[in-house]
Amino acid sequence: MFRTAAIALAAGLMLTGCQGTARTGGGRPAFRGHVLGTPLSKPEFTLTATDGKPFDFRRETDGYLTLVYFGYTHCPDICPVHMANLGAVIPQFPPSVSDRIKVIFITTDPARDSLTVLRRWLDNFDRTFIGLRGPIDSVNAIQRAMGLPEAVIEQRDSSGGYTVGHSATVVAFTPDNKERVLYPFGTRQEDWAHDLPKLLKTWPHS
Amino acid sequence: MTVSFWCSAQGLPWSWTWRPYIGVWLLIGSIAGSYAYAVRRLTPRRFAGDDRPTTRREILLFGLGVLVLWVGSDWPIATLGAGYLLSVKTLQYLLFVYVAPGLMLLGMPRWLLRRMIRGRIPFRIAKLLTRPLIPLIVVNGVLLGSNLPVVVDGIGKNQFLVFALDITWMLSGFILWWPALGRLPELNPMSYPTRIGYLLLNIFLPTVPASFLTFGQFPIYSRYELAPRVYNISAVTDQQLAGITMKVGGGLILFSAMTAMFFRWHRGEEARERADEGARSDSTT
Repeated sequence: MFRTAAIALAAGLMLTGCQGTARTGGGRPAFRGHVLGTPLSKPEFTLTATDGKPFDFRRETDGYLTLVYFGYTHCPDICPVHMANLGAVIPQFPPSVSDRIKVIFITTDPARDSLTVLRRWLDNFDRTFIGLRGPIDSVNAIQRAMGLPEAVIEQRDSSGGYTVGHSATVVAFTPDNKERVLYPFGTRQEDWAHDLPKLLKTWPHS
Repeated sequence: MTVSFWCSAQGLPWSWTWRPYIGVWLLIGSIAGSYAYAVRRLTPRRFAGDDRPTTRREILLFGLGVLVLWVGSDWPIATLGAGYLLSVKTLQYLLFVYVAPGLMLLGMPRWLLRRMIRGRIPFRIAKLLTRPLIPLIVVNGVLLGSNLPVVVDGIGKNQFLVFALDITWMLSGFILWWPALGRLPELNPMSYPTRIGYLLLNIFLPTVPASFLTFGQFPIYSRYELAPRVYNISAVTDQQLAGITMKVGGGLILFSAMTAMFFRWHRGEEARERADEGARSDSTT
């Protein structure tokens, strides 16, 4: 699971031409995430949100700092940690910051993650997190568009359960609708607290 | 099933599947075995001064101490503490430092303690540790050092480093209780009021790391922040629980010991006064 995630991250970083951590003049990193050398455009797609309505990604997130993560609710380790950390940090910001951030979780396991299951799971972390579900082919195409590897079903056990290998990276789209920074597994709450307000300021809605 | 020497962070999702740790059994077995051997084979034939045969109470206290040590170092407490919950790691600290060594020291008969510090150097070390300054520095230094993020995050996955830290904690527990219990009169133990003051200092000093844990805005240790979650307990809640466990749990244990010492001192003073009064009335009649 971790091996797959690491490979996926490496592949993701290569595909997107990652520049590494951007630094200020003093040599301290400006952002704790990996800033892309060439930002990517925000892809256009529509999936189903947990309220059952179509969710037009580009329109609904226009002008917001949007954090996108691909995972699944049966994920035993990385997904809940990422979501828990975001769910712990964002409410601590003043509304002028937190109201301008959207967290979007796209399931890579639509077979098991019904809209109800997805909603209930996300509510463990934050009720404002948006859950999206769609056919796995569409989800994989979206991942490719964001420079991430596709999710793969990894291990099946005797009871029919399985794990899904997926990218462990949170993709940050700044308010100017560009994919600019990647946050791998290991990103800590203090890193989010440091970067998110800065991302809003550095690349405001154009 | 994986058999390990000692427990360490594995990064695997938490499950209630039992995990064996050979090193724990070896350690606990050797401590219990050594005590049994000492009591059965090394007990002197004649007792001098305040020496007396090992009592059932002492055996029970020592056994209880070893049991606490075992519970703290084996699955599930050690497993949860090593890689999942800081609050459980703190509970483990309390068991290793505040509970088990005190019980074990109370469970060791005086003749055995005297035998252990036979020789010039062991006796001098024992005498030095009976004064409060060095134990205060060592115990609280170990506590502060082992709570540094570089230590907590650095040793997580290496079972031998976790073992070394656990042993350091246990030793610091013996150093904590040695002057407080003052078992051997020939080492000039502190008076009861001084012992109470010493324990009181040991309640106040851990407040510093406990406050960092309780009031930290974000998780301090990546080892616990990035660990697979257990029952959806958030990293910050776990950290707050750890701070409260250290402060309240540790405080209650030491306060109970202080209370017991106070009453022992009080009883001693009363007995002395009664003896003085008896002597005065004898002299006037």
